Amino acid sequence: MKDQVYGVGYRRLPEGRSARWAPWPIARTALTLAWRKRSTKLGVGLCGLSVFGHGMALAAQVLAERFIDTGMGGASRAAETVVHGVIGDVHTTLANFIGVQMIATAFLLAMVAAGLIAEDRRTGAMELYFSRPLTRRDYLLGKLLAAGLVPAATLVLPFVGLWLFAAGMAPPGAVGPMLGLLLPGLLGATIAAVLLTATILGCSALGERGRTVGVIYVVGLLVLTSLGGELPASGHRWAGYLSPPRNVQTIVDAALDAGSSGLLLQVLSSRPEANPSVLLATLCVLGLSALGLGLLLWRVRKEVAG
Amino acid sequence: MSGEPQPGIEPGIEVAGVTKLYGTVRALDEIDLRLGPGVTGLLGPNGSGKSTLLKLVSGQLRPDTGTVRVGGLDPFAQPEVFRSLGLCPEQDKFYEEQTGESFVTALTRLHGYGAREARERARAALTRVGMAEHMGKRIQAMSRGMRQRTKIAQAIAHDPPIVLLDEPLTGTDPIGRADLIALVRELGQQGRCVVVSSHVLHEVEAMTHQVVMVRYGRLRATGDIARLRALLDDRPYRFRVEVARPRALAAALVVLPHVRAAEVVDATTLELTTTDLAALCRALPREAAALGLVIDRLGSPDADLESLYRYLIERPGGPT
Repeated sequence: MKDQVYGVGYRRLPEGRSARWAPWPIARTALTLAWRKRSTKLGVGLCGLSVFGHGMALAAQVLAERFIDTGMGGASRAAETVVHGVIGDVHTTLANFIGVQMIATAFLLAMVAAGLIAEDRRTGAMELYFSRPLTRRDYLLGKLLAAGLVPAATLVLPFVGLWLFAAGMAPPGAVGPMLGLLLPGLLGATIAAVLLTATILGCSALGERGRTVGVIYVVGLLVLTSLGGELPASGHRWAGYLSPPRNVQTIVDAALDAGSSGLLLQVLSSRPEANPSVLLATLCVLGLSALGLGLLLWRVRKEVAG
Repeated sequence: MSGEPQPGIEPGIEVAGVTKLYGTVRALDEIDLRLGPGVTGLLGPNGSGKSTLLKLVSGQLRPDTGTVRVGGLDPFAQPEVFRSLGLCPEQDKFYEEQTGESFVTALTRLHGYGAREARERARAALTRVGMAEHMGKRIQAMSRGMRQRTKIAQAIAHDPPIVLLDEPLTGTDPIGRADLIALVRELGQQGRCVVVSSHVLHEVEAMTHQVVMVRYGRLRATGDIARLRALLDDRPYRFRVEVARPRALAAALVVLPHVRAAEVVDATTLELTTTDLAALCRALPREAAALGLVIDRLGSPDADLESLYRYLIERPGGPT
C-alpha cells in the first residue's frame, strides 16, 4: 500500500454493462443442472406419457364419434349428435388431463425444483450468488422462473396443444362450442401451475435437502389428494377442500358455468367431482399459494441480509 | 490502513468505526481500515473476526455501527458494487454436477455478460488459474486443489478491481500453491485491491508485506511486516551469524549501544540480541572485516511474519 509504487493504480469501477435480465441465468443454471439427473428425465417421460395418453384418448374418442358410426353401414347419426358427443368426450378428457397432469407435474417438480432453495442454503451457494450484482428480487424471480417453467411446459402448453389437437380433428360444427372449454381449462391449468410452483418453492424454503423436500412434497400432495377424493364420499364434504386438484377442478367448473353458453353445458356428458363452494376452493388455492410464496420470501429475506 | 493512501489513489475498501455484534458477542469492535491497491494479508486466529470482516466487505452482513465502503459504495445496500468485487469464499460452495467451465460461466453471466462472452471469460480465468485441462471436469470429480482454483477463477473472471480471497490456497499442491501465489501477486501488481485471509503465514508472506492482524474482533496491527516488527521495541531482534571465530566477533559487537546481548551458541555460531536491526546490519560487516572474518551465513529468526504474528497474536502485549 504505502511503500509500493504500482504500475496501474486504482481502477475506476467498470461502467455499467448492458443490463441483462439476471433471473434468466439463475433459472437456466437450475434447469440445466436438473436435466442432468436421471430422475428428472424419468419425470419428463412420465409427463410426456400422460400427454401422449390423453392425446391418444382424444383422438380415439373424436374419431370414434365421427367415423365409426358411419362406417358401420347403418344410418348415420345426426350431425348435431356427433358434435355433442365430441364436445362431451373432449371435456371429460381435458378435465381428467388437468387432474392427472397436476400429479405428474408434482413428481417432476419434486425432482427439478425441490432443491432450488434448500440446496442453495445447504451448500451455501447463496453466498456466491449474492457476491454478484443481484438483488433478492432477481434471485427470487430466477427461482420462480425455473420452477414455473416446469408446469408451464408440462401442464399449460400441453393443455393448449391437446385442445388444438382435438379441435383440429373435431367436426366443423364442434369447434365453436369447444372454444368455451378452452378458456376455463386454460385458467385451471394456469392456476394449477401457479399452485404447484408456489408450494414446491415454499417447501424448498423450509427444507435443507432437495431429495427429502421432494419426497415430502409428493407424498403430502398424494395424501391430500386421496383424502380430498375419498372422504367426501363418506359424508365429510369439507375434506374435499384438502385436495388441490379437486379445488382447481371446482374453479374450472365454475368458470365453465359462468362463461359458457347453455348449449355447451347441456351437452357435457359428465362433470368431474368438485367441491360445493367455489369461494372456499378459491380461498384454499390462494391460501396454499400464498403460504408457499410467503415461506419463500421469508427464507430469502432471512438468508440474504442485503 | 495505516497512513494516508497514495496521492491520486482512491482506497478500494474503507471500513470506518465498524462494530458487528452476534447477540452479546462483539465479533468486530470499532474497526477502522483503509485498503488500497495491492495485496493485503488478513491474519488472525480462529474466531478473531476475519470472516466477519470479509462478510461485511462483501455485503453479506450489515454493520451494527459504522460504515463499509467498497469502491465508494455500500456493499450491503448497493448490489452494483459487486460488478467490481470478486469473492472467493472459504467453503466449497458449488453445484457438484456442474463442470468447472459451466460453473464459472453461470456465475460470470450474473455480472451482465452474454453467454458467449461469459464463456470466454470463464475459460480465460480457468486457464489463468491452471485449470485449462480440467475445465470440462465435473466439480464432484475435482480434487480439493482444483476446486480451490475453480473458486478463484469465478472470483476473477469478471476482471474485478477488488478481490477477496478467503483461504485461497487450502488443499493446493506445492506447485499449484506457487502458481496461485504468483497469480495473487500479479493481481496486486496490476493495481487491484486484493485481500487474502489465511492462517498459513509463510504463504501470506510470499504474497505480500502488507498485513492486517485481528484478534478478539479488534485490529491488532496494520501495515508493513518489517516496519511493524521494528515498532515492537520491547521485543529485541535475535540475529544469528555463522562465522569462524564467534567469540571475537561477539566481543567486538557487544560494546555497541543497540546490542543487548551476545551468545556464542557453538564453535561457529553467534546469536546477538539487538534493538536496532538496521544498525546491526551496518556494523556487522564492518566489524567482521576489521577482524578479518568471513561471515558464512546470517539471518534473523524473528524478523519474519511468523514472529510478528507470535508476538502480536499468540503472546500479545506489545504496542500496536
